[in-house]
Amino acid sequence: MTGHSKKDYAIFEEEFLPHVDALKTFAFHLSYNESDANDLVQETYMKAFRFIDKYDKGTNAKAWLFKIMKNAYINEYRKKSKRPTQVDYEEITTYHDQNHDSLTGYMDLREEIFDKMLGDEITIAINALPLDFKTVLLLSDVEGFTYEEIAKIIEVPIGTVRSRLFRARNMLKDKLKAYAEKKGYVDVRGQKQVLKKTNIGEQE
Amino acid sequence: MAHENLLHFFSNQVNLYLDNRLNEESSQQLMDIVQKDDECSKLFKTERSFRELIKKNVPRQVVSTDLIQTIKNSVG
Repeated sequence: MTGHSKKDYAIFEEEFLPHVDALKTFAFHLSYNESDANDLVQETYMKAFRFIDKYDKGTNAKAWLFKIMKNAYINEYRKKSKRPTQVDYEEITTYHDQNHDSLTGYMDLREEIFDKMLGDEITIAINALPLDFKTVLLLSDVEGFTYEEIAKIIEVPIGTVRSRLFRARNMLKDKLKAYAEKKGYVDVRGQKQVLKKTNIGEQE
Repeated sequence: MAHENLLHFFSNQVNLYLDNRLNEESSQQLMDIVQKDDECSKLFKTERSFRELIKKNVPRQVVSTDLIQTIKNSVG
């Protein structure tokens, strides 16, 4: 590549490359295999360098790189995927306003049950989530991005991030609860909670 | 506040709390509930454990030095 300055190479080394393991982790969960994940990481870095003039030195390199990776995956790799990844957006937008029984199941989970979970089971459960839900879960609970950062990475409103995250966690809890029951760890206390939307006190 | 309503309120707020979405006053209000209500306390611990479970079981992938070199060569 030509037309890049020493400053560009310095940014690449100092601000972009430190996130390579985080990007590989995300790529691995998107693509499901080592080779595709490596290709996606490499492509992300090549695109980041090509458009490095769009990046402001010292800002949020990690979020910028994740956005590039997400777009690269959506644009190119997802076409090859046979996995169903469509999200029912109507369900998402209405989900938060509905009474929802799956959280009742979650309330039947004991803290100790989580200690008995095996890593493989959890990884499988996460990977089984629809792409859009898995994405927000990984960005939030693994990478520690804020709602605002996730909204920018996946280019949706913050309210959508919140509702997808809420949904993703409950889907995962349902899967883990089913696993726990299969293994005999069930702790059903017979509670029925009707949950409605209450986000009082949330920071704007 | 009836206990069912308290649980209902708490279930929603605890997620926002753990996502650092609550202001100081609301966070304190939530912690007061945790201190006073056993059911809410359990729910809080379970949600916190759930988050830790995810974090703990999605291990960081380590990129090989070969791939890093390939990336550097591709932009160099």
